[in-house]
Amino acid sequence: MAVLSAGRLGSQRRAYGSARRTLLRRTTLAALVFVLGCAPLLAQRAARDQDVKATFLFHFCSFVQWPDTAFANPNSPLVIGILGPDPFGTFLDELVKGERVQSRPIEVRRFARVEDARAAHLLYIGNADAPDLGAVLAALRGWPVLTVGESRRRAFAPRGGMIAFVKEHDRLRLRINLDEARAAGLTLHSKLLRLAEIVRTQP
Amino acid sequence: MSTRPSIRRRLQQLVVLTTGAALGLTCAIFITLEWRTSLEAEKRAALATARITADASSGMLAFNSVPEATQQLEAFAAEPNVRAAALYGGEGAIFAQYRSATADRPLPATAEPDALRVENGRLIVFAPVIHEGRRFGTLYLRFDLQPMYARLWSYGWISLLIFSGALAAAFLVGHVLQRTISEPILSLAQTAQTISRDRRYELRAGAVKGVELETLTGAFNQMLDTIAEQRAHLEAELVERKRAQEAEAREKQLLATTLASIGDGVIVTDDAGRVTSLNGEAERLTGWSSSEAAGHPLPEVFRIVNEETRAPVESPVEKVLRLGGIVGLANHTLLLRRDGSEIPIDDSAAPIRRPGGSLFGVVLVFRDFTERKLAEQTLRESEALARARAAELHTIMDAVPAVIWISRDPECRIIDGNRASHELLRLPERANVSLSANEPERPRHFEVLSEGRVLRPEELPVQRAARGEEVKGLEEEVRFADGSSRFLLGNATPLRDAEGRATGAVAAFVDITGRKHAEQALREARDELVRVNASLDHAVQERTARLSEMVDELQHVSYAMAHDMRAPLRAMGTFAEILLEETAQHGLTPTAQHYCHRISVAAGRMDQLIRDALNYSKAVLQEPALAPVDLTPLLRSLLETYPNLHPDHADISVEGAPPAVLGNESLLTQCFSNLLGNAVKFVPEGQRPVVKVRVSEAQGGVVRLWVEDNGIGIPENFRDRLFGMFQKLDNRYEGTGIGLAIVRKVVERMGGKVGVESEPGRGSRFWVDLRLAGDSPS
Repeated sequence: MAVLSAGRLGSQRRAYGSARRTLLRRTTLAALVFVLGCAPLLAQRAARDQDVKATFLFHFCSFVQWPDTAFANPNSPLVIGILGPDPFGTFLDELVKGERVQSRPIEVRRFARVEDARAAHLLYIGNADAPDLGAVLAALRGWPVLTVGESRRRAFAPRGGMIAFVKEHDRLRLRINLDEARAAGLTLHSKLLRLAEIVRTQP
Repeated sequence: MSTRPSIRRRLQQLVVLTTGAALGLTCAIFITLEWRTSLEAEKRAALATARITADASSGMLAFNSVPEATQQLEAFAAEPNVRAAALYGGEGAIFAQYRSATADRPLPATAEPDALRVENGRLIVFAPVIHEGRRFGTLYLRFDLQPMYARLWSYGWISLLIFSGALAAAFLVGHVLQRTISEPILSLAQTAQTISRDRRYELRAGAVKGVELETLTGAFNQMLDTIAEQRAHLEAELVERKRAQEAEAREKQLLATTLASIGDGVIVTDDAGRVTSLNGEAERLTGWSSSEAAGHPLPEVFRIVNEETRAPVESPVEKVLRLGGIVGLANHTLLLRRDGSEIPIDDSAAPIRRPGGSLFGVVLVFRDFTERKLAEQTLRESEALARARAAELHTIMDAVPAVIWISRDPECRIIDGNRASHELLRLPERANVSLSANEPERPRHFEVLSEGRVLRPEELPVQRAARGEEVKGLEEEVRFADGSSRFLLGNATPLRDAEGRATGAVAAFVDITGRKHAEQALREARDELVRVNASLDHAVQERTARLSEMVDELQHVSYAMAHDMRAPLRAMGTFAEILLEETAQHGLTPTAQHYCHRISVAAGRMDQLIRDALNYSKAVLQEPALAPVDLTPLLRSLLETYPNLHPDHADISVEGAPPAVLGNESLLTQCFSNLLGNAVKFVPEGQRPVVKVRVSEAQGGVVRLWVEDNGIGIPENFRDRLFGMFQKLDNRYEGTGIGLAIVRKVVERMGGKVGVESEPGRGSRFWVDLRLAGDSPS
């Protein structure tokens, strides 16, 4: 599992047949890294968690359906926005480069202000533990923006965040506030819902 | 035959093998199809399963949900066919896996390209995990095909079972059905075997069902017929050939001895005309020995010239070689012998051919003709004679007015006839006249009748004679279709061979049609006569009565006249005598006296004549009363009464005692007085008459009296007329010529006969037959 996690999921975008050799090499490389570098393992782990989350963000695009009104036109890009601190670095940008979801290109934008972030379709709220989370979410309420965040106290989803990353036994899991998503006019795929813990906004 | 499978077994095999092949193929196809279908079904099912699973797994791969993925895969535990399942992430590493309890193989370490394949009896699927066109990984599923194979095996076993059952059924059915085919064939085979073994070609195969078998049997039987026929033919030919060989052997033997001892000369040459051999006679005739002559051309050995022209004659051998056929030599050929003498010969030559027909030699046969020429001459003469005789016979037959028929077969299929017969029967010459001829030749325009009945062919005279019967005096009628008839009378006689069997017949008939017609006319005339007679009878009776009256009257008149004539005659005589006596006294001239004398004599004779005539007419007219008369006193009184019978004039003796006869005394007196008177009268001048009266022994109630004299006798030519009226033998003797007429008449009136035997110059013997008195007719 650890090895697998160390693999770059972003490379999945490449053609499967042609990637085989690369894949083999990478697997070998990963094995080498694992065997030779037990020490740097922990150091790298945090980075990898961020990569997984970035990948998840990218994958959310496929499992969520936005209302047509969320886009200017059929070819308008699907915008992944990051509000606040960006934990992903360039990984996310590279991951989505050239990728399309339902013929829409994917764009990663970083926002400083929540008002600007309304332009995003999927918004990672980097500072979910911030006290103004309620204000941020409220600012976004009524906009078809899928809000994703992570709270150490696990309060993101109950507070009105739509998808929350939750770390459980070394495993990244999802908590979804389905009511909020629905209120925003978003439709979440059952495959996604099946894997997630559904929560409700707690007053 | 027994080492090879019989048709029975073959048919059986055929049925079983056919059934087996069909069933086997069917089963194989079925199982193969089933296998493929099952496999396809398995594949489809596997693919479907894989897709569903893959689709359900996309989220799990996308969001790294290993527990959920594992849980999902483990759900395959409910599906025993799935032995193993695994999900590989985008990098190809195992993400989640499942292995059943019976899984015997490890999972592939990494994902492999998408595939659906059977590997080691397992179905392996690598299916992509895709969501919204994005691939998240690979699903690996491994299915166990064992259940399918087990099912196929069970199908196999069932098929095998069915197959075996069907084979058994086919065997049984075939066993039954093959009989319908094999039995006729076996029967045929049996027949054929029997025929070939026992050579009984008269056997025939029995009737069978089925067109081809019928045809076969028919053909077989026909073949047998042909074989039987050919066999008979061959046997006949064999027998013939054997006989021919024997004959040939015999002939060879015979030929060898014959050629040596033959009376004819035989010369054999080769195809070039060179002499090969001579037999003994040829050696003798030509003067060449066989060994000397061998190799010489024939004309050197056999020199022949024409008897008349002496020109050389072409060798017959050359002629045969030239013409290729049998040739005879012209007549009048002379053989010039080696010593120069000549012999007339007769010869012929014939080619000797190989079986193929090509010539390889010539046989020349000749003989000394000297004797034969003579014999031929004789033969020719006798033949000419025979021909002449035949021609004569033919001419005679045609010349004879009678009808002649000849048949040379007992059934008379052919009857030949002379010209008269064909003319009579109105047939062309040489036509077959037989009514028992074969249908087409049989004449139909006439039939033959006898005694008014139509004769059947076998009743005809020639046919009867041809069966050995002698037919004589047969009268028959040939009645023609046009109604005319010819009558024939004649005989038919069988022709017999040396053993006496009838082999034919000859018949001769005369045409009595004329006579028949005459008879007919006669019969008619007689009938007419009877009729006329009947009508005339009355007139005749009348006329007869009148005539009788007239005759009586005439008789009385003539009697009276004769009686009355005597008175003037007597007066004339008396007066002439008186005149003579008177004149003798008164001197009458001698001439006158002579005349008177002659008147007196003439008157006496006239008187005598009248008396005789009276007697004759008395004898004629009077019906004498017949009574027994004793002749002895009658004769004695005669001798005493008549002066010319007195012993001084003649010696008259009566020998024997004449018996009493039936007669009339006066008639008898007249008879004997005349006979005795004649006897003493007709004697030569100066001879004393000697008369004997003799009585022959009575015979058949008749006694014959003889009056024999020694007189002048009666010439033979006069004897017939002797007893007629006014017949006088000799004018020198006085008489009226009525005496013997009276004798005959009176004898006849008494129922007797009179006759004479005489020897001129030596006397006559008159005889009178008279009926004996005791023998008067009833």
